Amino acid sequence: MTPPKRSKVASLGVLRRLRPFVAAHSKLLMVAGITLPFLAGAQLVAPYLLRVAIDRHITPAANGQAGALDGLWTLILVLLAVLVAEVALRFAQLYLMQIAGQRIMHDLRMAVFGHVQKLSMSYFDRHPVGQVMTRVTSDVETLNDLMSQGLVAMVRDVVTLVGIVIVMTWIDWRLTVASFVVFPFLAVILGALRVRLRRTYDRSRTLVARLNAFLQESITGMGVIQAFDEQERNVDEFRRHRDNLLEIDLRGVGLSSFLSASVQSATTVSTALVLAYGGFGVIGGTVTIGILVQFMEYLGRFYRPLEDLSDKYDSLQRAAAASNKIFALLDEDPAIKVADDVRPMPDFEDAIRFEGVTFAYGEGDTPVLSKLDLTLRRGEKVALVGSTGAGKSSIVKVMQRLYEHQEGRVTIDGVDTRELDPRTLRRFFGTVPQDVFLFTDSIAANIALDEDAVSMDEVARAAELVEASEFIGTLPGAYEARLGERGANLSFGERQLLAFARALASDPQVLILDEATSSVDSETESRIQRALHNLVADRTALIIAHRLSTIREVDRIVVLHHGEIREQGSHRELMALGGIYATLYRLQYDQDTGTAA
Amino acid sequence: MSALVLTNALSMAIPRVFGAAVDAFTQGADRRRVTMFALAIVAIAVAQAVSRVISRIVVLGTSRRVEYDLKGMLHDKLAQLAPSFYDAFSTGDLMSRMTNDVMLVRALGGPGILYFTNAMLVYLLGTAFMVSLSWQLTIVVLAPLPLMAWLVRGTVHKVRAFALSSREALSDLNTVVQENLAGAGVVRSFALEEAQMRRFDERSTAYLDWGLKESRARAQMIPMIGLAGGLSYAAVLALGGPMAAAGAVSIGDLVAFVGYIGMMIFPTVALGWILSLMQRGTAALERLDKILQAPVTISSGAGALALSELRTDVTVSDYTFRYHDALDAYTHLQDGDAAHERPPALRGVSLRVEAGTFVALVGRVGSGKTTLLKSLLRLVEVPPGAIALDGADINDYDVADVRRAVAYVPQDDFLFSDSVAANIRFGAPDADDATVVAVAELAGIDLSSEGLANGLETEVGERGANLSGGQRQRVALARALLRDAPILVLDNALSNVDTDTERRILAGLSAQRSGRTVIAASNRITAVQDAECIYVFDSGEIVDSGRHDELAARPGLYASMREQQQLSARLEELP
Repeated sequence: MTPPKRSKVASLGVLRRLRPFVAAHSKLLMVAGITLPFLAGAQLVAPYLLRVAIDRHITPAANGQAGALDGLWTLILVLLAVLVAEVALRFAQLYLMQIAGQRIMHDLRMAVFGHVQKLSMSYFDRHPVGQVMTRVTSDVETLNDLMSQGLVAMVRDVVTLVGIVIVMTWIDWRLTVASFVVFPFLAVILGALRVRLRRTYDRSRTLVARLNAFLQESITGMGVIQAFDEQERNVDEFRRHRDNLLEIDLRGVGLSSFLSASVQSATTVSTALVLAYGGFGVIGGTVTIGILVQFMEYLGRFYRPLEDLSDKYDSLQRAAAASNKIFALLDEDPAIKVADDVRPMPDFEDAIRFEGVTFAYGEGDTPVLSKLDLTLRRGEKVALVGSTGAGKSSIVKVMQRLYEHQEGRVTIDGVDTRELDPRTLRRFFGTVPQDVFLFTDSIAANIALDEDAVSMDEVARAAELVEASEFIGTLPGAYEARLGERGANLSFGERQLLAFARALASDPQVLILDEATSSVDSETESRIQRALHNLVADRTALIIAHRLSTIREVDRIVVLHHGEIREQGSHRELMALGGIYATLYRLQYDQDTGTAA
Repeated sequence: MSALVLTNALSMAIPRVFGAAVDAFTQGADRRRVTMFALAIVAIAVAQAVSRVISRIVVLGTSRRVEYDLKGMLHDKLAQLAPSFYDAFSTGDLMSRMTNDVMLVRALGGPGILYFTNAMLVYLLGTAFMVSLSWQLTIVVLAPLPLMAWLVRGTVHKVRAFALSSREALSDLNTVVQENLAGAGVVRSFALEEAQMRRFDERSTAYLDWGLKESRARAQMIPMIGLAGGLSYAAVLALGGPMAAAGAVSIGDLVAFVGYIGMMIFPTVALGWILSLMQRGTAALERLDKILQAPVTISSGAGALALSELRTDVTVSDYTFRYHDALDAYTHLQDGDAAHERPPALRGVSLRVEAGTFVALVGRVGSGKTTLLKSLLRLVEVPPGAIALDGADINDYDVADVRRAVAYVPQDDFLFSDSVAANIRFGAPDADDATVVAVAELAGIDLSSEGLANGLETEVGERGANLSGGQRQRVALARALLRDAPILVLDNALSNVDTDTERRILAGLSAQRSGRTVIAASNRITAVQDAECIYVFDSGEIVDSGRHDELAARPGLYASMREQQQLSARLEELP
């Protein structure tokens, strides 16, 4: 892969990378392509018929030749037939191109979305949601315009132009030369204008991007702006952005007007030349009136497509810019690689082990885990205790291979997790995060998540076990009740219970609980504690704890600090050890006797 | 506009000249006359070029100016609208209105008007020229037009209906993408990639299907317009041929008619496009009007009190606040559902802050602290009688005065993509360097050890992305301190700063307070234990109040929050 160019203006070459997507629908495109010469032909036929009508039928009839008009009716019928054929062909062509274009877009969307699914969490740490979202939606949409409209129109125009020149030359090459005498001049003007137009368009696009970035920031920061009473300055600054853009846009309007006028004048001057040279021919008897009319008709058809050249260039540039961004995303290497020959998931009869694991979030960052050894045996309940940044959540993320560690191994029954299919590995765990993410969907779908893998019975059983069924029953439609955006219509406690049910529904081997730090009222609190108790019963569990009172009963407590294990053992062992945990525990409970029970 | 008329009149004269020339040739003109005709057309070309440049520059230039003004008007309005407006309209929605919709209006005002006027002029002038040649032929040339208009009308309706469904399908698709990205963690840890792909495939296919239906309807429309042009050709030949043979019209007239039909086809094709431009433009204008018509809920009334010598006694009495009251005014503009009924954010809250004191608000997330703090700056719609500053209702003062009197460190540490210094200067652009450095130090920004590559000139990135959470909060604090206002409001302002630094900053602040009032909300007990009075919030109500010692000694929310926090605090203190 070649690295993307760092120029502001996207090179059109990037559009070549669309080839495999286009090739997948080549049959459809070929069928659509077949209509093109016929359509161009239809464009050429009408003026020809006109010429025949004038030269063979109307002029002789005017000169009193009998029967000349009879053939006119046949001619008109042919004209009508060509017309009907043209309408049918044009419909077929437009529709086929749209089918192909939109299918290509669908494929491209699937490819982009599919690739995003392969990207690891570290990608999302670096790229805001809105940006990735634009790639999948509006950037692909921009290409659609080019695919289904611009590209076809361009091909059609070129075929028609070539057709016109060939037919004209065949009829009378001298008259053809007269018709295109101005063309070199026009070409020079267009060439000069195109370069300037391109520059203004590129500059305008940059300014638009800047203006939009400013606007986006003003909208998101409007609260701050108003709190500091700085609206006026903000408005002024926006005006400056608008001023800059207007200036360049007006220049663009001037250039494109000049371009449009040049094309029009070229058409008119060519008409004059055809008239003059053709007129001499008429006098000399080498050219007929019909040919003159035919040429006049062709001229209009030849020059018109040149007029919106600048718009076409602009849409091409837009498409190139969009493809650049799309392919940059598609080139993004998934940080989590799937081994070539994945090993089957072990039965988990022994333990999960961290063996000298070192992990940092980014290259060159200080490691959050350094040479960590940790064992989680089957059936064991282990609590992780430590301050923010001690490495508790990193352990959980590395264990599920949401991030790739740099040194050491993580094994399940001796099998390195890097030799397993990451998705099978992750299904092995059931996670309850601190902050529950809910989808705008039904309660059932939010518990099951993958409705093909989890049955409705399992959903209900899971909800029952964590006592979520009670509140679900009160919702209109119960399990089918739809949640608002991100579960907006549920309380924090209810969302927690749903997260428990969700973690349980997939019947995981290991439960991972990140205890919520946000507090809830005491009634909900005790309900959650009860649910938690049911959740971990008979299971292997790893708990990230934020309160000492909740973890006294676990099999083992691991005290982490700066990515290293400082102490581990049961509550009793650690208290006997008299180290950090014991100090913490005593401090808390001696000082707060009577308040913390 | 006259340039536009001139351009078209000149263009429309060409077939006429051409026709006259043809007639001259058939009657045996000499080379001189031929050259005269050609020169006449060249003269037209020159005049045409000039008038075309002028007309396009005027019309298209105007549309750019309209865009310029429209964006300005919208932004002015956005600057006035209260934060509750932004709760009802998402940033994405507003951005789409300010960009896509404004562009559609511009297209309506520029190319839309240009091509529409062009088309009308071509019809009008063309008809006039044609009638002057032969009224019978004019009628047959124009006859297919109503037929075409009728055919197109039906399709336009269909296109519109399909376009609407297609847009809805797209919005469904976007929701899937949005949630897939926002919930990237869940998707991965539950291995939902394939389920998500299926879901996306489903929506993308639905979008494709509607798109194709729309395309089919559109694809029917364009050839129909071509059909009308072709029918006109046939009609001219059918009627004009015999007429020319009979000498009723000349051959040159016939040629002129053919020329006119050719000129009318393009504007007619364009008309279909203009129609959709107009539809979309007016729809966009409506969407923009929603913003322009949105009521401004927070403003200074006529004859507002000036707040100059503020002693800043703040009295809150029996204050109840519901977000959806304010939201309702905006959600109906969105055609969305009314805001979900939720319990009030504040319920009968009363408290008093005397000038120069340090008062703290403590409570869980969502207990109403932020709402109360925002009220002090009138960032929410405060009902009359709820809050008084120095004895007068807060709504009676000039809004700008109130906001100048209160320096605010919001919970969301929003920074602008600019340098650290520029962000600190945000509320006081004229402050000198020494003062900026002084407040930066007071806010705990250690320039030597922060890893800020260019010191105060370091760029903070979009939303401050180049800084850590704690750094962002300290910059936001410095920004507020530079305002040098009598009241300093801190909303969970140091939650991402480690406890040690927090303690140092707070100590520095209290040393420099010099009569300033500090009102601080915090989820962290350590941040507030020195406050002269701590109010404990729960579900929008004040459930307890007192000094740290008193509150810590009795069982309740405060004591239990403290228990939770001590663990992490102590762990952090480990060597």
